Amino acid sequence: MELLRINNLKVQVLKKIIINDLSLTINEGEVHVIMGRNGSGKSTLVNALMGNEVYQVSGGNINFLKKDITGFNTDERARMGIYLAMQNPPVIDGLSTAELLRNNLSSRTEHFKLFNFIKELETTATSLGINNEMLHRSINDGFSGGERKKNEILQLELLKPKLIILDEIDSGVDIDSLKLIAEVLINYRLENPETAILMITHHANFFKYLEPNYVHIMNNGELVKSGGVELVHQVEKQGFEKTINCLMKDMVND
Amino acid sequence: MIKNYYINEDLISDLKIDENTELNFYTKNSDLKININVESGVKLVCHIISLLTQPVNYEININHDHDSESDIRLKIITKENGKLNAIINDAVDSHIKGVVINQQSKILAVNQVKSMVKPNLLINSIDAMASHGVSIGNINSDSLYYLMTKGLTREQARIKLIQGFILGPVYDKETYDFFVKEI
Repeated sequence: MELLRINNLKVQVLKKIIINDLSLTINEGEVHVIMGRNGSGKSTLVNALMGNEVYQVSGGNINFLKKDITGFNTDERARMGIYLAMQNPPVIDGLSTAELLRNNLSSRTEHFKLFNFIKELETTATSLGINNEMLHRSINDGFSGGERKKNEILQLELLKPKLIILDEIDSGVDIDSLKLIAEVLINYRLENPETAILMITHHANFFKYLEPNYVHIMNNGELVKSGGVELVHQVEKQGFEKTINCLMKDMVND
Repeated sequence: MIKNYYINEDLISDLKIDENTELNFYTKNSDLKININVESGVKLVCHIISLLTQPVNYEININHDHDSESDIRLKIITKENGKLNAIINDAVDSHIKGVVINQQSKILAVNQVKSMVKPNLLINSIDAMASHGVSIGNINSDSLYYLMTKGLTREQARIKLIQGFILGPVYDKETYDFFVKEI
């Protein structure tokens, strides 16, 4: 079943068009990867999908679960089941992860059970190697880059989204932590096979653990090529610039 | 020793600190004038945590004896007509040695009103260490966006950020009840 459909999306920031005529469909259970150079528009796409007000949609639309969500607020999208694991999650002074999740889940769940919540929170934290004390500290306060990423994964485990957007989950994370994050995501997908993942990355490190169904190369705000894992190998071998030049040449010849 | 004060009316107070002490003043729209004598070898930590909807004046005078230490921390939220005009005077006489002074003020302005904090470090001694810092800003838009991506509405996120700023991640019921209406 179709989960997300982006039709001819145009996004601008301060009147500058960053994304131009981008279309993409993600079905339940699929793993999509968008790769591209710095400034190619990957993070802009993520923010537009999440409804960040700084990023103005000036054309096209975004459909999630067959509903046009282009005009929806960020929180409405989140409550529908889109989860963004941020590239640089900020420190939230005075609010703990445990408190945020408890508030969030108790307002969504009719018969919220505090004891079950604490048990699930602590079990998930342990599986990610997160110390219990960190759950009750201000969000991301004193966390390393890797711990911040793990904290994002911890929250998605409890919020149970239908579409997970991982914005450079592999940046600033050591190999062991990356493996741990991948294991948690793999288990999550086994328990929730309909959940889809959209991954934004520069690197192929993560694909050793979580293999994508589709790989898209982004350049100047457009998806210039879509394919399978072979595209990742091409990028690894040639680099982005050469790969994109080859793709452009092919397009001209066609 | 830790002492908590919940203040609803204007306060003028003279305090003598003769043992290591943490003072926590929780206030709403009250003018404060506090004179503190920090005795020899004693450390004072003083938090002033306020939620202001009207203009207020604070005058805090700290007088130091030998080897004393003071750390004054203001956490203020200004809403509606709330505005802070604060003067914090740390005084060290010329014959006093080994004093450590710190002043840190954070103001979260939910309104568009200007506040002022004047840190006066009146140090006549050559043997003292002093520092101060002030930050004033609105609710951080990145923090709001972050909480909204996790499913909180804009208003819920604003309330959580204000509550978090003033109470911190762990707070007691008495303090929460003191501020709950304003939050």
